[in-house]
Amino acid sequence: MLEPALPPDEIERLQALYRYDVLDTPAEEVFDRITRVASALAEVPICLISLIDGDRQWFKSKVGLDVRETPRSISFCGHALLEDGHFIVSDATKDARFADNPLVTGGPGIRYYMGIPLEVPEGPKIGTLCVIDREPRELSESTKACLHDLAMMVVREMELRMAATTDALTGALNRRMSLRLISQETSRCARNPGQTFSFAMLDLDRFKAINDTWGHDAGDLVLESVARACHSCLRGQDTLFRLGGEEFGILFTDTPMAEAAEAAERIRAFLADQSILIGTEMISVTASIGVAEHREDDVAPPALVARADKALYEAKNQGRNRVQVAG
Amino acid sequence: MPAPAMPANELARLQALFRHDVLDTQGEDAFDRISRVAGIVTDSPIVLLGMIDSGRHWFKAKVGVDLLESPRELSFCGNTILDHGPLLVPDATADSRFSDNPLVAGAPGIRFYMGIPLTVEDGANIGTLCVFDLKPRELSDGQKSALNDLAMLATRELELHRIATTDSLTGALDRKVALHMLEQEAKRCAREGAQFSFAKFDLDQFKRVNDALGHDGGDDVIAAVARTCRERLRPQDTLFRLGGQEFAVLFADTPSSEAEELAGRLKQAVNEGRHGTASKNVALTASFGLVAGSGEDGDPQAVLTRAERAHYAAKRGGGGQLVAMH
Repeated sequence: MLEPALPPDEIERLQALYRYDVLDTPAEEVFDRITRVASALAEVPICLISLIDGDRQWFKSKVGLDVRETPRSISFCGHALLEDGHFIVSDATKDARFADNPLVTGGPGIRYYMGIPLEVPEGPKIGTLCVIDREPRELSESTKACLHDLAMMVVREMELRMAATTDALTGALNRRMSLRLISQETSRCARNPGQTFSFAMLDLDRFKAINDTWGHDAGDLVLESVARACHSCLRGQDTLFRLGGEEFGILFTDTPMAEAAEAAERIRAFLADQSILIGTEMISVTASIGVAEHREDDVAPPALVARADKALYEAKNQGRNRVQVAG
Repeated sequence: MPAPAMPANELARLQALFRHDVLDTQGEDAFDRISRVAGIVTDSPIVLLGMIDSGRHWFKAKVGVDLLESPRELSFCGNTILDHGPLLVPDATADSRFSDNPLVAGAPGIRFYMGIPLTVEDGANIGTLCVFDLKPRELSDGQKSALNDLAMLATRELELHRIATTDSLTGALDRKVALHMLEQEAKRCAREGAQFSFAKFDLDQFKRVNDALGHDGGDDVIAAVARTCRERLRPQDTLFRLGGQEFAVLFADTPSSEAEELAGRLKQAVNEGRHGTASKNVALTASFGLVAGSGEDGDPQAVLTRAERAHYAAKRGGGGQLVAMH
């Protein structure tokens, strides 16, 4: 049996998946409708929306299967994830990669498999929509095309879910999502000893004065422009949050503190150098940033956030417009 | 051939359709996908995902048909929206409602039909997802249930449209939908020789409220005023938030003499009430401008401009007034 390889963008891919905040959530009618239609369309007994986590595939919706997840190592969908377009196994018993796979030799007895990667707008593939039969078979081209349509519908639903956790003004995720993503990243590091990550808190200096002088609309323009500046300095695997008011958070996945502090310094310098046009006036705004690294003994996200917050407080005390790392 | 009967809630149903801002809009991937899948899963050559307007069946997405719309009186779907379940016609030649329908007796020679109503808030069936075949036939239970699931997905798409144009603070629809509804209501009035009325109003000296209660307190007041107005509207009327403290109401199928009385009651409720939360609230007044419209008002922007002029006259009169320009 061949275990699926990891895609080259695995870290970025996992962060994209986690941003959708969908793993381990209850079943939802809209996804179940899509899998029911897909199984009726392909006339197969099993249809799944499979999301590929670090070491498991977890089913957001399933027709004809009782388990909620399986190890990624034995998953067909882990292979489908590596493909552009779709991935088909016509008869698993005749395919060296799968013939001795326990899902083939035992239950559910997979013979036919077709998986369509769920490719999200930023690029990574977070999972698949797949149809499975216990008999070897073929699907017509029109059926395959329809399955692609249904996969697009799944991605669109995921996008709509994410809109609910996104701040409309800045496009940053909300505070609740910061705690969720820190938890997910903590589990990832627990599974992969030696890996680490960092979290930064960023607060705009003397923001109240901007609101008082130029009004709330100007304040909003500034927040928008700061979020844009942050996004331009970050990598695909990093995530920006708006924690409230003029306070932002940044999750640096798979990144030790020194590297995160460098990125924070780039953001600080970028903001200090740029001017923002408010009406006919150019104003500038600076930020103070506190950075902390994950510790294995952190019991919950708040411990890491509290260390970053304390570093931020020190940055403010030492004169603002600076980056401070947690001691 | 009997034309389809009118649903009992036809007036409110049409306004619910207009509120979704979908008639005469461009095709969209989300609806095209649903229609394509419906055609393949039911193995049908023709699929329509359409809305039942006052005189026409307008297609948002379609497979196997070139038309953009067809007359309502010929439509199978006009019958489907009379009920909340699916309408199944295995052989149209054997069904007295459809056997002499020109689409059955002549080209394209429809035989099989199954349609599922698209039901939105208040039980309004605004359209259908339906499949046709040119030979008599049946669908399997799996196909029927898949078609039903696809209709639910289409309904969800329509609702997302409406949510996107709804102001979250007040639940009122936005300016873009106001223009769409004015246009569609004028078309309906042209067809049916009816009249509508449109009122624009705003809260007088609102800056004082913001200064006294802060922005959050001001928002509470705006939400409370919207609630006060909505409670007094009929199902066929629609409240809009045009921006800030500016609102509008479309009184569908209502001559201006009647609308003047309805708007007068809104004005009275706003002027005499206190608005905000239990602990932080204010008394205030609103100024209303009301205009009449008919099938000749094809330009919605012109109706809005007339209402603004009436509203301006009410403001100049000192606030707290209603000015109707017939």
